[in-house]
Amino acid sequence: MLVVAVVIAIGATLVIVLAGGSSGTATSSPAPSAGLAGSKGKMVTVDISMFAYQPATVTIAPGTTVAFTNMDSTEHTATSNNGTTFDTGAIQQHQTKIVTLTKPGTYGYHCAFHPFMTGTIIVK
Amino acid sequence: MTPTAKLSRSDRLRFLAIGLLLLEGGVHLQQYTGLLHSVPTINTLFLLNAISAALISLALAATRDQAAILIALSAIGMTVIALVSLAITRTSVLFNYSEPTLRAPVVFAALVELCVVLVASWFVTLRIHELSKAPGV
Repeated sequence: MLVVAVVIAIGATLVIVLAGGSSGTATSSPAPSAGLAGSKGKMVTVDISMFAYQPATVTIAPGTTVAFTNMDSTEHTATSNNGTTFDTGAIQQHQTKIVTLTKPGTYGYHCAFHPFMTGTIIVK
Repeated sequence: MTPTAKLSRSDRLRFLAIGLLLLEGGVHLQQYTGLLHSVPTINTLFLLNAISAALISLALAATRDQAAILIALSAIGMTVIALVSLAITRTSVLFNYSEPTLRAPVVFAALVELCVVLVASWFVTLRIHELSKAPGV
């Protein structure tokens, strides 16, 4: 009986923990810009969900701000492939971080924690 | 009416190990379906852990002699691999994946896995001791 009680208790704990882990506040907390100066007020959003940037490719005008919002329960980043153009740092669940790009070009980026996650920003 | 046979201490540990193994597999299955199914390689490993945990639990429930010791050892091996993998992903990248966030399911899985290792090891030790004392062994 003791064994059964222990197993039931652990199972109940699992349900509570998993339910708690999947919930959370929906507040967005914008962070300081990780990008370059020169924003002209335009903004496009890229959601990070299920270990993917959505959309994976965005085309923007110079000076446009790209806002990355993490919907996953694990942290992600948006880090330029060259490692110098931009790096949002860790974006927590429901947090948004922005990048502003002014120079025309094609910027590939990835998640530093999960390098298989890739995206592209085309500035033209 | 036949009185219910009292379970030996090792049998109680065996059933506790089965429950914990099912929990370990359940957490991995939940993480696979809820979050990690799109992560290359890691998704397969989580699914394999869930399937292996279920199969080992069934095998452990079906036997109680020397074979149970080997099955418990396989459970320990699988779980230690899962724990070491988690430790690696906490500090660096494994199969293009890292776990920077100490999420509730991660903490829970680690605790359950530690319990699996402890209980299964305790069962193996006790069962070996019981078998060595059994008549005719």
